[in-house]
Formats: sequence, structure tokens, C-alpha cells
Amino acid sequence: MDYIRQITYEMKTQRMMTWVSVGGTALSIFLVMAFFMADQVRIVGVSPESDRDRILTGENISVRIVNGKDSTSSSGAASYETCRKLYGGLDGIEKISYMSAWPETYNAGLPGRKSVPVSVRHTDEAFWSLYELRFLYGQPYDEASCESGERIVVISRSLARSLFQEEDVVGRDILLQHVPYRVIGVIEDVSPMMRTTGTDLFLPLGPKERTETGYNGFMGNVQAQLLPVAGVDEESIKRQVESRYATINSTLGKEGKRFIYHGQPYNAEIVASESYGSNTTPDLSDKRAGRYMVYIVMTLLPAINLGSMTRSRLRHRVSEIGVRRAFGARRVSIVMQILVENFIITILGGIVGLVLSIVFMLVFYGTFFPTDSASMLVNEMAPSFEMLFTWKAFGIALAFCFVLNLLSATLPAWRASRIQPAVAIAKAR
Amino acid sequence: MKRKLLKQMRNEWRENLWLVMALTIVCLSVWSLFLILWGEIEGVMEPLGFEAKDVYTLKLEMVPEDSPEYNDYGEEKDAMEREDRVSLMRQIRGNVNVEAAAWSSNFIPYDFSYWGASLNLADGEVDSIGYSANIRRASPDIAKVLRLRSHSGKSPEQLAEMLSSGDVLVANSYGDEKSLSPESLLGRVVILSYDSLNPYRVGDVIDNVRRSDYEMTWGGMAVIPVDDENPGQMWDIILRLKPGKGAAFAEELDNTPAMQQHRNFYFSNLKRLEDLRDARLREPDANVKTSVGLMIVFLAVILLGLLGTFWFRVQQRVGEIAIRKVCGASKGAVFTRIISEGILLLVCAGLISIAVVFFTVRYGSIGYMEFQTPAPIILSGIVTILLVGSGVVLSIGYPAWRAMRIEPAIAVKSE
Repeated sequence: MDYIRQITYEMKTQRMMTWVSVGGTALSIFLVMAFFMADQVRIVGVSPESDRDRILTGENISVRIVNGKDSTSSSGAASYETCRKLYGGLDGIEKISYMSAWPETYNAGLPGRKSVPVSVRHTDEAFWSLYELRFLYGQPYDEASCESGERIVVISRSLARSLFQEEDVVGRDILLQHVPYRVIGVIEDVSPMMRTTGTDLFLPLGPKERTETGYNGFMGNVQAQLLPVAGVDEESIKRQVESRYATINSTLGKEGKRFIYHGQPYNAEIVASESYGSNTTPDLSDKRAGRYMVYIVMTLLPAINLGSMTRSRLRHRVSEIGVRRAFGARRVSIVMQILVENFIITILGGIVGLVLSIVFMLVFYGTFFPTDSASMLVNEMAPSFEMLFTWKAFGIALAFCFVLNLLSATLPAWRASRIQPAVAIAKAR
Repeated sequence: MKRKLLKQMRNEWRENLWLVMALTIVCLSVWSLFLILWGEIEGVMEPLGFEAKDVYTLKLEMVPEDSPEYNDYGEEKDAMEREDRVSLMRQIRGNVNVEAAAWSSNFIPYDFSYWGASLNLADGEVDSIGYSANIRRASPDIAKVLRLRSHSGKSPEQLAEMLSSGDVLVANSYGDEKSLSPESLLGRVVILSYDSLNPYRVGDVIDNVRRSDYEMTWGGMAVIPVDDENPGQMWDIILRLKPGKGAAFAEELDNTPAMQQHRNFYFSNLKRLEDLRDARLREPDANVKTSVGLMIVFLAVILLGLLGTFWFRVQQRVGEIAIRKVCGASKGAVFTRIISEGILLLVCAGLISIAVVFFTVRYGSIGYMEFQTPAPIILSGIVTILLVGSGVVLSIGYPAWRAMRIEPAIAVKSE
């Protein structure tokens, strides 16, 4: 309580110092938290991708073909068969879904009416249990529909409104690339910020998509999304996949072919980073180094500035420290008092910075951290509050304040505590 | 006076050392940020190689065989399909709103297409060093649509004529010193590294058509003409509309089924090139905005820090200022002395920063901030020193001005 009284007095008498300290800390925390939240928004698990932070993505295949002295390599998205061989039936997987590797743009319309470009993804029936898309009308397609290649679709509320000017359009037909399909479900719109579910229209991954293969027979346009059983670690899944690569290579080797393992399946952080190609192993070290550099500089700069201010502030209190020491106060208690007082100011700045960063991200996220949504009808880019404010984010902000406080106040506090009482009182006079 | 100032600074060496360290970190941080920002916008200063205004793109699509609308041409399939495509293009060209239209497979700017191959002299060894280029294929009117820029002063119409007669155009080349220069190919007959059966004459050198506003040009570029009457696998159409006729053309295309579809082929996705640019460059645009925002917040943090630090420093010297004034020093002299101290500290920090940057560039790695000339590093350094210097002057100036307004008697009494 004494600490609070003391710091309140200090803040009242040294208004400039208060504004500068709180303002500087708030701006630093704002910047660090804005970057942290920008990363978090891309990977945090929120509906309809509640398990996004746990889901692993098996994508891309890289093949080397050796022909005598020459060797060529090709890489790209895998075919359905390749995906099944690599990721099907792994131990420790609760759910697995196969879907197109990337959303495609189709023209959707009604007979005799202008068509609109929409974002389309083929998925299997398991997709609907992996993600929690909310059905407004109708229902998802099942295994039988996928296997038969039935021409049915699930569309978003916005697409239903755009084509039919109403939402309950189950049973009605639409033209996709001039081919008629029947609507069997209408779902709530999903923001393009949701990497997998942010699509206008879903089609069954039918026999055509399952048998389609590109160059060299291993490639296609399919990826696998795997949800591990709670408690199963990512590395154990990767080890199993790597051993599947080895098994496949033992057969392929006889034909002079070889699958090159690039660390699949990838977690949400890797997938969101988009910092890898189909023929490279993802390496987040550069991206992380860049972020850490921002964090370090944004800690160091205010720490140095606040440190200078703390030193100067303590000069005004030399006599007080001298008197306290003369009356028996220990050095540790002097240091602790200064640290706690400083921490209160830092926390004040931290709260202001955290609130600023949340407001900033709610309003300006789409401007500063856009997601590719060029072909989607829904263009809503504002993250929800739950995507931004997590206890982890709060903990980071608190830890940052604590580190800032230690960096800026420890040295001045230690130096102040070492002043001899007689010298301190004499200096003050 | 100068000697006294230096002596005073020496007496407070601990404080000053701390400040020099702080200012050095500030200078290095601001310098690095400027270099990062420079790296992001460097490409914007290069010519684009085309004019995007009034340019639109259209996609040609085919009705799938399983559609009820599909027309089965039987054995005449290839010829009929070619006729369908050419007929649609003729309609587009005949439209009153259209200035020029060209077929393209990979010529749309901002599509980030790169089809690497080399052009070799037809009279030389096929595997000798050639001219490395991004091969862009389009029908001759592409020169008029994108208003390609000739180095020899030819108009887009003349360039289109050249392409019609079968000549290829090559662009200025960057980064590959082993590659033949485009000028050395002028008027020579070349063959493509993957197609030795079709020789082309190099007609002219043009500005490279950039893939993005931000990406620096690398390698060369060659425009290979495609026959207007036999577009093969060309599925993109690039149009130049008459100025301001975009909306009228879009409306006409929407409301005229015959213009939109001819038997098995139809047009979709009419897009303004400028809109395409905004969509494709959303991320680099945002990166620049983020860097500028980061810079502003960063400078604000620095300014606040400097203000706080120097505020206390000047406050401690209120008594000294008062004594100087009592002894006859003018306001200007006292102010200059206080400011000089800050500037001297900044000079020390600036010199250390220059040394750090010099050794980092000379002996270390500066990662992706690798520039072809030292100009960006020097320019960023100058701007940094000026900015931090302004911050120092402001941070000292305001408290010094306030301190000088205190009456000497009151100031000394409070001491």
C-alpha cells in the first residue's frame, strides 16, 4: 500500500515523467502485442477451426528421378492416392480429412444470368466433422455422395443471397462452369482469415478428384488434414510419416525414383508462415529472428530510456534513501521498493498498450496484415476479440512489462541502494 | 567556452557514457529500419515497362464436355474450336470501346509468371552462353495494349508491326553478367533453347515488363509473337479500352450473350489491371504500410525516451543555468551551451554507429539488406542522424526553454 501511495505522489509531482514513462511503455507494448497478435490470429483455434492449433497439414510431394548420370526433380501438390499412402491410418490420429490443396475459382451462376467468380474447395465427408461449419439450411454431403461423384454443393449464405436473393435454397440448382449442381446445404459465412474453411462453395471430393494425377503419377491437387489425439505429439506423427517415405522409397528406388521428405505434416505456424515451397523444407528461423529482433529492440529501447529516467528520478530521492538507510533499511528492501514502484508505472503503460493493440487490430487488421481473399465473396477481415485477447497474449504482455521493469530499474535501484547514508544526506543538503 | 564544455562533460562521464550508449542503440535501430523500408520500396523507383491505365484482362474458358451446353464437333473439333476462339476475339476487337486486344499465355503483369529460357544466336553453338530471359508469349497487339517502351524510340504501333512480321523483342537485362546483352542481339537471328526449329530475328530492345511494382528486375525478357488466327493454348486476353470506357464495355459484355459466348467458348472474369495489381500486391503493400507504421511508433518511443532523459538532465541544472544568467550569460549563450552538449553526445553516438555499420557491411553479413550501391546506406545514415538530431534538439530545447524562464533567484533558492 505504501508503494502505491509513494508512486501516486511521485506521479502527481512529476507529471512529465509520468506521461513520458507511461506513454513510452504503452507504445512499446502496443507494438510488441500488435505483432504477436498478427501471428496469433493466423494460428489460434477459433470456430469453425477450433482445433486449428492442433491440426497438422500433409501437403506437397517432391520427387527425384535419376536416369543414369542425369537427375531431375519435380514437386507440387500430391494426388489423393499419394496422400492416402503417406497419411492414411497413422497411429495417434483422431480424425483425417482429404481436400483440395488450394481453393480454385469457378464461375457460379443461374441459367441465363450473369455468373460470379467464387472460391471453391473439394472435400471428403470427414471434413464436416473436423470443422464446425454452421448449417443454416440442409446438411453436409456423406461418404456415399463423395464416392458416387454426385453433383451436389454446399454454399455460403453470401453466395445464396448473391445468386438467389434468399438464403433457404436447398434443392435448387446452380451452374458451376456451365454444369448444373444441386444445393444440399447453406452454411454461415466464414471469414477468409480461416485458411481452410474460408470458402464460398464446397464440393464432394469425388472419383474424378480422387483419381486425378498430374506429372509423374504422384502429383495432383489434394492435401490431408490430420487431427492428432490429445496428448500425441507432433514429432511422433512426423516420424511415422518419414518412415512411410522410407518404405515407399524402397520400392520406388528400383525405378530410379525417390520421394524427398521435407518435414511433413506441418503445424499451423508453419502453414500460416507461407515461407516454404513444395521442394523445400520449411525453415521459420529467419521469420522468427525478424520477430525476435523487433521484440528485443522494442524492449531495449524503452528500457534504456526508462533506465535513464529512473536514474534521474532517484537522484531527487537521494536524501529519502539516505534517511531510510540511516534508520536501518536494508539494501534489498530499497531495491525492492524501487522495482515495485517502477513496475506499477510499467503495468499502467502495459495496460494502455494492450488495450491500444486490441483496438488497433480490430480496426486495422485487414489493412496491415491482409489475407488473400481476392476470389471470395465474403471479404470480412476483422478478427474477433477472442482471436486477439487470449490469456497467452495477456501473459506475454505481463512478462514483457516485467522484463522491461527489470531492465530499466535494476541497475539504478542497485546503485541507489549502495549510497552511504551520510553521503546521501550530505548530497541532498 | 568549448574547453569548459568538454571539461564539464568529462566530469559527468558516467552519465554521458550511458547517454552515448543509448543514442547509439537509437541510431542503429532507426538506421536498420530505414534500410529495411528501402529494401521494400527500392523496386518502385524502376520503370514498370507498361502503362496499366485502361488495361483490362479477360479469361477465355471452355464449356466442359459433361455440360448440357457442350457442342460436340466430332472430327472437326480442332478446326471448329479454333474458329470459335478467333471469332470471339474478332468481336472483342470490333467493339467501339476497345482500342486494342491481344492473346496472351503469360504476359499479364502482376501474374508473377516466369518461363525461363535462353535465346541463343542461330549461327553459334546452341549450348553457348545466350541471353537469359523470361519468355512471354502474346499476339502482336500486346505492344499497343501495354504500350511497350522501345529503347530506339519506336511507337507501340511500330513494335506491333515488328511482332506481326515475326520478329521478337528483347528487354534490358539485369543481374546476369554472363548473359549476352540485349543490344548485342539486335538484328541477329536467334533460337530458343527449347525450340531450335523456329528461328526469330530480334527486332528491338524494350523496357522490361516488370512482374510487380516492388520486385527488382532480374534477368531479361523476350516477347515471342503468337499468330492471331491460331492462338493455340492462349487463355488470357489483354485489352486496352478507350479512356473511360471500362464501365460501358463491362455492361455491354454482360448484356450481350453473343459477345460473351460463342458455342463452346465463353469469356469470364473481366478485371481492371489496376484492380488485379491491388489484389496481387496486397501483401507487399501492407508490408510497406507496416514498416512505415513501425517507424512512426518507433520514432515516437525514441522521442518520448529522449524527452524524458533530457528533461531530468536539464532540471538538475536549473541552478547552474541561473548562476550563468546571474553572471551575465545571455539566454542564447546558455541555450546554445545546453544544446551543444546534446549535439556532442549525438556526434559521438553517430560516429560509433557509422563504425558499426561500416564493419557490418565490410566484414559481416547484412542479410537481405544487400544493396547494389552504398547510396541507400549513406542516405539512410544521413536521414537517421538528422532525425535523431532533431529529436535531441527538441528534447533538450523544450526543458531548457522552460528552465530559462525561471527567475535566477528562485532557481538558486530551490537549490
